[in-house]
Amino acid sequence: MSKTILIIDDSATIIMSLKTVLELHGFKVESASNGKEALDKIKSGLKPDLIITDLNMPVMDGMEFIKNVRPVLRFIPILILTTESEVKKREEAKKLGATGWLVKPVSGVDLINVVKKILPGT
Amino acid sequence: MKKYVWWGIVPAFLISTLSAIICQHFPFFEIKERIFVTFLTFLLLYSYFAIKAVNSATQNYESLRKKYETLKIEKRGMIPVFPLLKLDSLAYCQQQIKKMEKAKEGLQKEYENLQKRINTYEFLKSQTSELPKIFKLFSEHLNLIIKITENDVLKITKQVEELYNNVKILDLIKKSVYSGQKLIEVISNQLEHNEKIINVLENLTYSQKTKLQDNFARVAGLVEGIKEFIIFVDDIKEIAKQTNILSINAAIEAAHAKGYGKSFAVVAEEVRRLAIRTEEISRQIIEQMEKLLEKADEEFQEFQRQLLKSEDLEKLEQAEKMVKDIEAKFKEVGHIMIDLINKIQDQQQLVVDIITDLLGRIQFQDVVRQKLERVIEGLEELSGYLTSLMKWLEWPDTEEKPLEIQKILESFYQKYVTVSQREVHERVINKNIVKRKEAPKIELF
Repeated sequence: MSKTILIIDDSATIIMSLKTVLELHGFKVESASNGKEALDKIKSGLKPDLIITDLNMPVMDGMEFIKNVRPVLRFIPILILTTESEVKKREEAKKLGATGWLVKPVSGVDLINVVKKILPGT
Repeated sequence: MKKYVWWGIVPAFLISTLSAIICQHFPFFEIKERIFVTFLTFLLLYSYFAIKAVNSATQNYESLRKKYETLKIEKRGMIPVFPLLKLDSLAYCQQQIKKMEKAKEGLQKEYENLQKRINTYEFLKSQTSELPKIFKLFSEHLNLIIKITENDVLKITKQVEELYNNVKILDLIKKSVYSGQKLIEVISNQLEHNEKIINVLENLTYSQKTKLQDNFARVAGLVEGIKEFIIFVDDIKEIAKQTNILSINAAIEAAHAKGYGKSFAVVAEEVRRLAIRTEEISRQIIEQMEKLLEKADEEFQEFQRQLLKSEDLEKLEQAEKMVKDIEAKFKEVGHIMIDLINKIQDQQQLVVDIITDLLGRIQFQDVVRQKLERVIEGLEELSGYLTSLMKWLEWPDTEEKPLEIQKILESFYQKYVTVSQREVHERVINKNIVKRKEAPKIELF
């Protein structure tokens, strides 16, 4: 059974490109345009195997989303895919429970390698 | 104006000192003392008012002019109390007027300069009030660029998606090829089976060949035996002939012997009959044997022909050859298909890699979008800053003083998200680049 990945980004191009590349490698993809929308989907019963989220988003940003989602999904890996390169923010995300940090633009091959590393057997 | 005040005070001080010295030598000092003090007081008061009048005259040119006119009219009525204060008011005022006129000219120039500055300010104000519009224009252009880029990138992504769907077709081909591969495996197994059959057939053919050759040899031996037997029977026939001749001769000799040879003649007759019978039987045997031989020879010839022809063996051999040919063809097809499968797999992997890489690169649009949005935010902040600055320039008492531009720049800097944005800022604003420790692009915690 294919693994489900939830992508959270306010950019339509990012969602579409990641969706295509992940589906190409056999993953099932769900998407949300901000943290709140993603949180609502999770509360409605969505159980992703991995979450890939942006940081700077309207309504609810990535950090806030991690804070809110961790009590619900304690062990689901969360990758941050962002243009942000500030080391302090990286440390903050690590403390909040993020699994990894990827700086945009990240090559599709690298992304797939990271995802396969986090989700072994895919 | 102060110098005029000093002009009044200094003479008053000198005069009072001189008066005191003079009063010391006066015999009637005590009588005059009060008069002198009164006079001195009066003098000081007079100096004060006079200087005050001069000061006010210098402060206001028009009033001075009036004062001048007044002084001009009342000059004869003035009290000439002290030599140094016996100023020619008219001359003094004229001097002051000249100064005032010079000052007026200066003021006029200053006024003109000020007017120019006011005009410049008004121009600056009117032009600066247009700047927010220009910033707005730039912002809209940048927003348009973002939208256009986003639309184009979405189109590219859709095209890539179509390409991805083609890859799905390739996947179907791959599956078909996989089925083909399975078929090849089945065929290979069948070929192995066929090979075993061929071996069996070969063995069978060899065995049949050997048997036929053995049979041939046996038949040939039999024919040879018959021939030898015919010769042997022929010898018997010859012996019978000889025996017949001997028996005839014996009968003739018995006839010569007459009564003595009667019994001998009977034996000779019996021998002759036996010889005739033997010859007859031999002849019949020979005839039968010859017929048999002829038939055997025919059969042998036929058998030989059949053996030489050996159609069945030939068919077997042909079948074997055909199976081998089919096997070779299948192997060839199998190799071609395996080669095709490998090439399709390589091509498919290449397409998947290219698509994957391309889709990763499309993220540049989001990076550019965020950078442009930061520029737009900066332009909007700058626009607001200019508006508040112009208001403050116009009404400094009521309007709040805007932030210093340096603080706005610091605010810009705090909002940057990429290393390149910070580097550009540092290069342009701070004129130096702070070397930072580069964090890895991909990091798993």
